[in-house]
Amino acid sequence: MTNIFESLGKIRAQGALGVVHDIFVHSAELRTQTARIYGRDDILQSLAAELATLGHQRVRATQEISDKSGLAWAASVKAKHTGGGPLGPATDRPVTYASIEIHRLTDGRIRNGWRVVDTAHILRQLGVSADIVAAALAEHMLATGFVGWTLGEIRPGLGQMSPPSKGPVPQRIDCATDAIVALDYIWNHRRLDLLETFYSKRTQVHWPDGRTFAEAGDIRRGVLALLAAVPDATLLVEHSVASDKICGVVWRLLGHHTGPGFGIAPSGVRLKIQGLSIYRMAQGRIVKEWTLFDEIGVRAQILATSRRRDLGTFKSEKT
Amino acid sequence: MAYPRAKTSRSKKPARRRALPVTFVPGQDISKLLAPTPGRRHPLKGFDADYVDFVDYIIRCTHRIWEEKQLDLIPTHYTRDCVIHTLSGEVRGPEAVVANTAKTLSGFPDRTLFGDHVIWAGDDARGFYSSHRITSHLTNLGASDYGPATGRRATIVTIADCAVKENRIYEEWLVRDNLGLVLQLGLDPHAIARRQAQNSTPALRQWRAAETRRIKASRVSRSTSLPDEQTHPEDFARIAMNRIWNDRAFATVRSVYAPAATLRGTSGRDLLGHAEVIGFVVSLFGALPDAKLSVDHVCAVSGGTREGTDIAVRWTLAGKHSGAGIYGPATGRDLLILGCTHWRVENGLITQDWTVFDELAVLAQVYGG
Repeated sequence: MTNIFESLGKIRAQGALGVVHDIFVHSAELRTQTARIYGRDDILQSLAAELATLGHQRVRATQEISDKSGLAWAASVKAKHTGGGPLGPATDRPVTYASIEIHRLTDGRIRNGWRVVDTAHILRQLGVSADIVAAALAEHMLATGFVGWTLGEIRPGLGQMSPPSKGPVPQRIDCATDAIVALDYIWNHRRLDLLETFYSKRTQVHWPDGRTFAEAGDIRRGVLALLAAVPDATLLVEHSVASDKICGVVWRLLGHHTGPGFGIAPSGVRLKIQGLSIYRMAQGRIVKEWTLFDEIGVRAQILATSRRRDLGTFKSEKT
Repeated sequence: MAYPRAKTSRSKKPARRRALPVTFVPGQDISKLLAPTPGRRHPLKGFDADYVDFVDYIIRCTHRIWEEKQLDLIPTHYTRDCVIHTLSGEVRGPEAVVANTAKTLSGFPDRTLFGDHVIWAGDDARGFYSSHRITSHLTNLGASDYGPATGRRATIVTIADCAVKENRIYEEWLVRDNLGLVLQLGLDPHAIARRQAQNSTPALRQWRAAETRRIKASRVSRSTSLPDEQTHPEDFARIAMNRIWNDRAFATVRSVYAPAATLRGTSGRDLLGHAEVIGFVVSLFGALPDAKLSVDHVCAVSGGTREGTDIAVRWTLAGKHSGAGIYGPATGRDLLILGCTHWRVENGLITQDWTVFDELAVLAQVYGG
């Protein structure tokens, strides 16, 4: 397990791309907000592209979690904008950004995983337009066959019912299960009043775009901003890893972009926001949190889905 | 399900060699899959000597034929009278299999076939049955059934169900995400589907009509209680499919799928959770309100280093296109869908679902093919 953590850092800091063959199964899958990268050769290529764009990386692992099912790895990366790609021509400017990845393992190798990079923060430091990058990403999604399927209703509860409860409100957050129930209360039950119960008074919460919250009131504003953009948001937890007093959670937030947010007028499109969170707990409270979701990728999803949502209906052609 | 174990020799040495289990594909690296530890793990009468078990046979013969381009192996791995069922027509005999494989490789020379799983059943006396889920990367570098080369790359899922005896496949059911492929190649699926419709044969239409009659006449289970999926995977699958698809008891999804279950479907469907799974089912009934589904085969495996059961279901769905919806304005035509589903079931709940069918061939039927 230690080797995988070391390897993840070595890939970025030293360009040891071939290590991918040692730590990923050949049929591994890596999911990002805008892509499902299948196969370790494709994963290697995606890492090469990232390193070409953001070179000279110095990586500091901020959190490492492992259990029998997998691992979570959060890092703070210092890099230079050395290449083109979706970020535009090289500017050679330095950037500092966070990344989180959570992986499932089989026999000591990564079978599938999730990765989020704080692209919004990178763009802000480079002075690059988020609109342009999101539009370029959307073009790429459309060119590679993206279909914005809209199937089924999305709402936190069933019909007129309130959201189902995963259990009583946890009075202490001591383990992954508690953290997942807390997430459910915050996002699905909209019980933002419980933030003070779940978080320490001296909490440190790191969110996308380099935002840092130091108290429950700040977190409340962040949650409300997202709920304003996606009023019917429903959060589902896909996977978690945990070790003593720290856990990593993979979640996706489903809903419709019917409110203001993401720098785009309400579009009505179905959204799936992939998020990764790491919680450090002490004395029954969350004392540190690292949460990332790719806001630029979400914007790209909105743009791509806006243009392709009819494709799934096949109604543009006459028989 | 207990795995067949290789026979252990009674040597004079006190320590007995532990029998190796039959290959379990998920999570196994290709380096291990293509170089298994020699020695039979279960009886394989009539199979080539180097295959260690039935799963190894499926994985390595696929690799050899497609990736090593050893098409000369097809005659020794298919019977003279083999038949391959696809929704766009049947292929009969090894010569036709060779021709179709070569044609696909001509259009997509770099096609890789990642074996994601082989769910299987049977033995060498009765014959084996495999359900092989494959993810392929492929670049359209040559002309194909879809037109001139586009130069574009795609990633698609195929499920190939095979009935096998003595090293030879005698019947195969092949479902490939052809609409997903066409979309990723940047082509117009409607134009291609119309072309396919014009080229459809009377034999294909007769086969579909016979299948539709078979499905409409098929009996369905009246049972509503789901058994344990580990001890009775076939009953679990048949009852769950029947409840959801034939009884229209869509709420069953909430009791058989995990809340955050994923469904990887055809044509870019990447679904999450009960609501989207139900949405997928309902979307098909929107277009085919009288649809009936026949579960044609079920097999299951458990084991490897993971807990849970993996179930493969081959099914056929028939219905009249009398509703507006995902296939456009109602045409009144009978539509047939041949599909394969793989489920990963943990603690009684489906956590992952892969459902594959050739939606391009469905679209061709919409256009009168």
